[in-house]
Amino acid sequence: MKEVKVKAGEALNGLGKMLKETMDKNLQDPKIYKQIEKLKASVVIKEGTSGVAITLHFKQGEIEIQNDAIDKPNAYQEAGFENMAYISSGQLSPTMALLTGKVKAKGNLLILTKIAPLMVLKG
Amino acid sequence: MAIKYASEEWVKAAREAINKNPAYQEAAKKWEGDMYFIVEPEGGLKEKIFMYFDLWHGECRAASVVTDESAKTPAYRFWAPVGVWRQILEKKVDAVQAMMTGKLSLKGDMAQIMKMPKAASELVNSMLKFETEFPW
Repeated sequence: MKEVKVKAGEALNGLGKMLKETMDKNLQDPKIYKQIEKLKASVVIKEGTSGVAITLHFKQGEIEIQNDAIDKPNAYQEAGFENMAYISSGQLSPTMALLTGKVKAKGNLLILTKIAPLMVLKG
Repeated sequence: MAIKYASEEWVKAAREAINKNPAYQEAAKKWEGDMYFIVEPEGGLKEKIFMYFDLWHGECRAASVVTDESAKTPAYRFWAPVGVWRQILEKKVDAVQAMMTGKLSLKGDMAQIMKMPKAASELVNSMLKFETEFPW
């Protein structure tokens, strides 16, 4: 079973646990996995209200998650919990969120587009 | 008068406050699922306390303190040490912040929580509408 690996020796923060749970489920979908299979990048995701962040390392099919933001990731995304939730539940499109300023993004936006389906909850 | 946290009286007051909160009723109008709020021991509190809330379409249908954890099988569980609950109810820490940092943990269908993020914050806001005492 494909799953997101937690960086050795780390106990994930709440944001990391939530995202890992969602990504682990989505990785079982071959269509979603195919989209990130060849990706080699680091992405920081930050919850704006609390300032809590995690970093995802995509290593050609493998994904590792760690607490906190690394310096100089390939892409960066920041949103408040509510907007993050609306995106995760499919009620707000990531593109619309970006255009309306509900999500702040920096770096390679194509990477964020590629990983977006991995973050959307089903059911 | 302040009500002792996690007592039967507190749970009833919380139920009443939830049912009088129009913002919660609106935010949670599609919410289906009961939950345990679990208070973990810390300081003077020596045993876990389980508070049960049956929440259905913006209404709190039942609420009680449960002595036997297996008495109910709620869809959601929120747990934190009593000190964290205290910080939340004294508005020193935001519930979302506690959740993001991992001080407040939860288990349940994340899809439903993510569909109604305001419901969770309004649920906590309801519990701030009356004075709470922490004897531990």
